Amino acid sequence: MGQIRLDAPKGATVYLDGALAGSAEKLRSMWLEPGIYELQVTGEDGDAYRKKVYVLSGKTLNIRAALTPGKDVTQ
Amino acid sequence: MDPEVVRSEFATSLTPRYYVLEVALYPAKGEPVDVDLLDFGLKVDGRLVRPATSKTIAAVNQKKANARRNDVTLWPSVGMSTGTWGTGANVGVGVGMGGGAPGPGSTDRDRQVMQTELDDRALPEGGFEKPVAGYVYFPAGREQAKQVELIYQFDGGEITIPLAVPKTK
Repeated sequence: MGQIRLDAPKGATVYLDGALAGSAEKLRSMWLEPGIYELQVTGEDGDAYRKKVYVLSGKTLNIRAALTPGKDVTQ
Repeated sequence: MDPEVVRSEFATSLTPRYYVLEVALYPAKGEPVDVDLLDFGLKVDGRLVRPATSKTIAAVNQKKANARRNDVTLWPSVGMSTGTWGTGANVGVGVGMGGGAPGPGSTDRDRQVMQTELDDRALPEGGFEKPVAGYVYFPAGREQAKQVELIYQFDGGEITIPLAVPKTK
C-alpha cells in the first residue's frame, strides 16, 4: 500500500477515478493499492483540482490541491 | 531539474541516480520534427551518456528496492514457558532475511506504475508539427559533475547547449 497525504481546502470533496471518496477533511491521509489513479478535489464553489497520481507501495505522496475554476468534471 | 523538485514531482525515485531534463521542441512552420530520444545526449565532463528508458529505470528501481528488502534483519524476542518442571523465561535474538511485507516500490505492480509514470511524462517520440515537451532521463555518475552539456543531433546538424551543472543530491 502507498500513502497519499492530501492538503485541500476546507469543505472540499475528493473523488478517485471519478467515484466519490469522501470529504477532504477525512481524507488527509489515504492508503491505496499501488496503481495509477485520477484524483479530483472539488471545492464547495465548484472549483476543482485534477491530477493523475502514481501510487507506489511503501511510498508517500504529498499533494497540495490548489483548486482552479472550471476543472470539475464530475457534474 | 533540481533534485528537490524531482522528488516532489515524481513518485518514482530518480535522484541521485538520474538527471531529469525538461526538453521542449518548437518545429518551424511546415517543417515537422522527428523526435527520437537517441538523438539526445548528455555530455558530462566530456563523457557522452544517452537517455535511460522508462523500462530500464523502473526495472532497476524495483531490483534495488528488492535488494534492500533482502537485507539481514535482527529482532529481539522474549518468551515464557510453563510445564511440569516449572515456569521459565528466555530472551533471544532472531535473524531473518527480509520476507513479510513488500519493501517500498518492490513489487511487479510498482514496476509497472513507475514505468507508466515515466512514459507518461517523457518527451514523446515520433513526428510532430506542433511544439512538444517532456522529460528526458539521463543516468548520472557517482561523482558530482563539473561540466554538463545537452547534445541534440538532427538531420545534418547538432546543437550543443551548455547547462547549469545539475545537483544529483
